[in-house]
Amino acid sequence: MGQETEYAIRFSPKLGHPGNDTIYRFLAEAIGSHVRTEPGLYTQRPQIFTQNGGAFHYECLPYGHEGGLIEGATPECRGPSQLLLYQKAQEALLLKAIPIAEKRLGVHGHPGKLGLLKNCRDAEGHVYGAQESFEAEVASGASMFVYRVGLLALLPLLALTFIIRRVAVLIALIGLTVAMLGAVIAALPPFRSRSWLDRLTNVKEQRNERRLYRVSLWLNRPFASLFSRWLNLWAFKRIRNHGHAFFVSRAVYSGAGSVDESGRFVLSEKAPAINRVVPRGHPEDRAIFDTGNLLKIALGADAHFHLLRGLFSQRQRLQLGLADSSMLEEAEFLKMGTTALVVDMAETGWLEDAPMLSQPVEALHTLVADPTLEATVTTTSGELSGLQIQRYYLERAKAFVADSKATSLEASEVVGLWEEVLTALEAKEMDRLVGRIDWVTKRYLLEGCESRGDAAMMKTIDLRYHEIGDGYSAQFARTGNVQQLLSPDEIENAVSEPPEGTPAYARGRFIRSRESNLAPVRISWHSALIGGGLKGKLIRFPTRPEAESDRGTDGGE
Amino acid sequence: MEPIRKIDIEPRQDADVDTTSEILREIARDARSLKARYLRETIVPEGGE
Repeated sequence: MGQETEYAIRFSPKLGHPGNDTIYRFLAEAIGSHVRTEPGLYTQRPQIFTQNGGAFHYECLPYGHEGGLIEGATPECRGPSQLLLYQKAQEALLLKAIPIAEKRLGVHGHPGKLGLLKNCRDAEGHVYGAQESFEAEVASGASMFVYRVGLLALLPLLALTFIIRRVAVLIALIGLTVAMLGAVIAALPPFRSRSWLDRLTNVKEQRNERRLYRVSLWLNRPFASLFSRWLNLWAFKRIRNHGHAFFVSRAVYSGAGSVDESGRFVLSEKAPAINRVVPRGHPEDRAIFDTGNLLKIALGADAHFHLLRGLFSQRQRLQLGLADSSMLEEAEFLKMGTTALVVDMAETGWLEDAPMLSQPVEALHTLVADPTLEATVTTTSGELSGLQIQRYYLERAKAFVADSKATSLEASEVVGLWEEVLTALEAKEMDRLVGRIDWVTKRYLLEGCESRGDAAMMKTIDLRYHEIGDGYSAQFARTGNVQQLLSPDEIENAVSEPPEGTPAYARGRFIRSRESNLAPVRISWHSALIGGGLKGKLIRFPTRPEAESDRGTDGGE
Repeated sequence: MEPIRKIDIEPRQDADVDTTSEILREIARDARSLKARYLRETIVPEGGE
């Protein structure tokens, strides 16, 4: 399992704002002064991999270079406690980098105060934030066969999309060349008109990039739409069918809480913006189960053909778009632990009688809008509250763990904490959950600071709760009321050491062992490219830590 | 909002403040002083989200 977390950048400039892309550059440099890093292989976006196997990159749309976010990706982890450790290591590394980046920004003419918010929704309702990933079975038996046949049938359309894109790029280049020539002629003394030249040569002009971005979406649309619909028909169907009620209701303990635009307190930051169960290839889709990662692999296969093979694998990355960023350690552990159990149970047929929702998105909006947790939704098992749905999954998990041949201590801990938290929520003993569950803690701060009636103050508390380092969740932890599961030494060790027994281990060790005077290297999640151009040597990292024989080399990529 | 009962737990020995109430007052003071500026500075512009 793994997690991607987007951090919103807060910069209070004393002079001008340098743009978030510049801030990212200084932060990446500062990270590199603490741990060994190497640049990412894929050049579409600035990215660095760190010696613990994780990565950071700058996330923005092509027309929004200066307004992007910083995304941190944990290394692949084997369980919820390991994932919690590496999530906190990521935050610890960023916290070390912030003052250095701040100082460097000042030296380069941008003095100011820098902060990072680990949240999912800003004051204007823009939504971004965390995504969880679990390795899961796409399909099995005949369904897997049909899924693969459908993918094969879509390949000609994918190839046609690549050809059309190349032709479009060629036409755009010819058009740009003609326009530039025209502009140069127009700028000659007899026709002096520099504004033309300025406009056409300003290739970073946001308006032009937005147009190009829309054209690229339009060109990809036929394939994206059909591919997404095919995935919706066959991929991860067992988990979606028997697990969707779990995801719709888990905000009762995994929600970060949020003050919405009308001043109401809701359980989750991201859930109100969710508009689909699964995406349909449209950029406006915000889905509970996000297959965008698979679509990106397909649409990027003209440059990285070898990755296409992964789409035919039986086990792939299940990505969850409905995920709030947790600030509290217990909440993070519980969220990842319960989800991992539900994925395992769905795959092994333990959830065949799970309640199902006829309108999952509407049910999600109903449940997260009610912090009293009394709202009910219609399921195949009758009208149920979010807590009742969660209770069903908990009871199944207890039986599942008890039935396991090799009892996992970690799974038992997850089930124990799940029961404790649900019982407290059912009894409305919220004071037992302050400092343990994010939405309860945030609401406690909103109440305790007597912010009611002051919308700006409420939203400030809501947002600054998520600032890493000295935000309100961290300040509240100083009272001793926050349950800590990790020690500072453990976190410090995870900043520099990759998780053992995972695919990240070989990646992290490779980065750590690199001599700085060797040929330049670029890293991806699966491989390292040493040197550049056609003479570049590609080293594939073993996909399974035990399988050293998987390691192999071939020519440039 | 339905109020959550306020709690007052003894701080850890290493806590650098006296009580939960004091932290809450600090947070309230900080939030009042930041407000509009903080909300403005944390907006994620279109293209970033």
